[in-house]
Amino acid sequence: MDKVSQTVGKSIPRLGAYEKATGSAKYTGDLYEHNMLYCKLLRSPYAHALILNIDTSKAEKLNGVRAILTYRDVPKTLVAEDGPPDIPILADKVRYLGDEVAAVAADTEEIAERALELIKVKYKKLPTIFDTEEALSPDAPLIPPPETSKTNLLVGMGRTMSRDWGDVDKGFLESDYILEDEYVAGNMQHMALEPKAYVAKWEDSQLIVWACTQRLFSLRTMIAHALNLPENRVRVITPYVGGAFGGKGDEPRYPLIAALLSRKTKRPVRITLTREEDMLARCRPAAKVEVKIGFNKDKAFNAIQGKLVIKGGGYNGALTNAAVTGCLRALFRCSNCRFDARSIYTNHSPTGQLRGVMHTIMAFGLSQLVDKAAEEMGFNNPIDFIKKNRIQVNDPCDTINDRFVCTLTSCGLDECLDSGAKEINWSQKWKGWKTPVEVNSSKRVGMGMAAIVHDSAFGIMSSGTTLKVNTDGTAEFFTPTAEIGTGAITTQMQVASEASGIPLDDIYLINADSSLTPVDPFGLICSSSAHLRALAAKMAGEDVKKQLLDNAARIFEVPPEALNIQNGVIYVIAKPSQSMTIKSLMEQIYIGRALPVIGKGITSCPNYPQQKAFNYGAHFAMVEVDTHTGQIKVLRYVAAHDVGKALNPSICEAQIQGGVLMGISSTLTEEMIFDDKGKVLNLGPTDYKIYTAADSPRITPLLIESNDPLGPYGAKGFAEAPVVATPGCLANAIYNAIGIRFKELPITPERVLEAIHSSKH
Amino acid sequence: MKQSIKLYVNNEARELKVDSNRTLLEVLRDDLGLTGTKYGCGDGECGACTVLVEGKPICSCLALAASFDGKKITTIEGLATNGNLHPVQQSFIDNGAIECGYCTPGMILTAKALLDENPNPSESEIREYLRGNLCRCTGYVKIVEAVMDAARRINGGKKHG
Repeated sequence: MDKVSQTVGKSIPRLGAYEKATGSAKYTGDLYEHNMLYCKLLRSPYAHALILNIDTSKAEKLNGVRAILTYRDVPKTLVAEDGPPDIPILADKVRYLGDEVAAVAADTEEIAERALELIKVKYKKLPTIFDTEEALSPDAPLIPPPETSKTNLLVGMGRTMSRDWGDVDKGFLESDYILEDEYVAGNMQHMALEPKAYVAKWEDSQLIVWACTQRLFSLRTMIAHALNLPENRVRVITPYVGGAFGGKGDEPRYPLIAALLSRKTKRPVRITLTREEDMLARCRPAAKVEVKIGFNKDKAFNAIQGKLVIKGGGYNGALTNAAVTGCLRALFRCSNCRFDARSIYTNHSPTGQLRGVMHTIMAFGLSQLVDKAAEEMGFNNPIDFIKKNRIQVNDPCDTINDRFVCTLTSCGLDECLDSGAKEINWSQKWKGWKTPVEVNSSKRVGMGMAAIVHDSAFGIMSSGTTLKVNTDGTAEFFTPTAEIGTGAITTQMQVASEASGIPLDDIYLINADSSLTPVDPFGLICSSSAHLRALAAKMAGEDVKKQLLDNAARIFEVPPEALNIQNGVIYVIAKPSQSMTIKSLMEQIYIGRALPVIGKGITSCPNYPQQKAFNYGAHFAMVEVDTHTGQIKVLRYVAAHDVGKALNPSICEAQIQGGVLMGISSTLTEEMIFDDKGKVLNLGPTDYKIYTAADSPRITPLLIESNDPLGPYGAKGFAEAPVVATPGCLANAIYNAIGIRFKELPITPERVLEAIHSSKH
Repeated sequence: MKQSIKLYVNNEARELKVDSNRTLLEVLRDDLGLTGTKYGCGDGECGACTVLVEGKPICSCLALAASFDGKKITTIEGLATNGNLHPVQQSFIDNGAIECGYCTPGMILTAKALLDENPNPSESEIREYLRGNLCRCTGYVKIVEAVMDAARRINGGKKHG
């Protein structure tokens, strides 16, 4: 393991915190370009319909309206972030209630809104589909474009897929004990505080798009493709992003509309979505999962199977594959696994990624079945059962197609289990399943736990950074990473500083600009930054250090190996008093005694597919269930996560605390409600409640360092796992309190009361 | 219809002509360039648009600008004095209470109003006072810690009754 001495491992305040605390940090919606126009979108009142005619003539005559786009005015290309392209820029068919029909650019938002009212659209309503089985019947109306799919089943990368490892059927036949159940979850919102915003303008022959996105390079690829431009003529820049959580990918349509309106008017155009529009744009799909586990007589896993069915909505963006290896393969030792996912178009709102996406519902089921297995097979508590069956380092853990090809690099699960149990005082408080910790009349206090695994970057991901040193010894660090709130740019800068020897204060950040930084094809998904992009930062830093030492070696007339750099000073190891600053070295460029220095770090997911890192965690909750009201109050929550190495402990803690609260809030309250026409009835924080400070428990994060051999200084990405683990942990605690297992998310007071009522009959 | 009003924004008199239907949020952002005040929901539910009027927090997305003629308004840009951050700002930075930062201006202004009213709030008083300001990143843990830390800084480490 590399020794750290300079900045890695320190809780330095995150970059941009000062700007955010003083209001000077600019988000996309804060950009006011000279002569800028404002765009508003006309949305469909029907969930499935053909547009027979659009009359924009009245709207065009309104004073201050500068351009209007309908499907007749846009290139016909289909685009999508991952998988089969299914998004037209605008189309003559709408696929959900709220789908974009026309776009107006005007001098003010108010004029643009008035113009929308003057557009007359003639629709022909088509039959709607809100049920997945109905969607697959042979006579079902087709929702996606026929170029994308001939049926409502979306087959392609990360969508409908089937994976078999070992022999699952034989595994179940040979099992002595089989548990299975079905779990469902409703649609969930990201509810990032910043609604989506985009600004587009053309400068010479280049299109510049400022976009609140977590995936700027794939957005650039989609824009270039749709407008038939080379990628170097499209520059996507991401200012500060006000929260993403998976919801700020998948959006080629808005920036493309802004770009086309800007091309037409020769003026910059901004689109800022309202909260309601933002909530319509993407959500986590509703889904159903059947989980089945077979155990042998040694109480070990013989076979695991997960079958997932997704209500994909009119634009079907959610990836299913996060649920595959994470849940089925890399948590417990088991030779026979099957994962089967079907991703189906419906006329619901568009769906996409949401912090762990389909893994969350899979883990909700698996965690409860594991808890149940431990109870029914006679263990004293679930922790012993998990420890007995958990994966070990060097076990096979990931697959390409149907083969196990990776071995596991590190696993801190035992330490997570031990430290979490100690923190919540498990050994003193746990009295066994269905035996509450405490009962005070109608209030029953229960405790539960769950173990979790999640990817630390996908195997096929890659990224890069560069670090350029100036003649005064300062440097610029170029990273594709946008600041979406995770703190990833801060940890990368810490790593670049540590590896190069250049003090952190001397490095200036230039980030999230497709014209300036290395390509980062997948963007900020799959808990990848601390593992993948921080590794690229380390490699760039090491490259700079090597070049600085080569420069210095010529001046000191010693071999470079005889030198080292720390905190901006280069010195002879054998005689530290013989030294010079990086500044005094680099100044010598002007007298021809030193060369310019630029370091690069380009990396794939390290050592994939021979090896793979996963992050692990153990969650513990104490909940109070009021059997009179159905209210559930979380009294205490402890979340221990194996982060590999805490590059910045404060940032790691914050990721856990925020993830757990998102998990609690989504487990206990959050769900989008659709009427039978496909209209969302709770668009907005008034009716779609998320937890406030007053509702929230104190969440205790514990950082476990397993020192991953491939991660930068041992680090792994882990920021989705806190959300993924929470629903199962809470469900197990609720079971302990009232003896009822909940198989539907969210677990609302109504559902609790209903379940208590039916359990008595 | 435009109305002439005078607002005292961040201790500076600003004479404005505003349409009577425009919100304070729009005027602050679009006319005065004070984009630290954020649009989050337009419904007064999320608190991202919080500003202080005569020291009291309000949701500027629900307030008509014309109704504040003559009033003293503090936005996040006006909280630091002579380049020195307010203790709440500094403690948010130091305690890691800022992540995406979009709720931060409203959260900091609400916390300042709380500490002006109640220099020694308990944890539950802080949580209750901040309930109108939503945050999706932090789980509120470090925000609550930052407000407690700010109270200590303001009180100079002394515990007041």
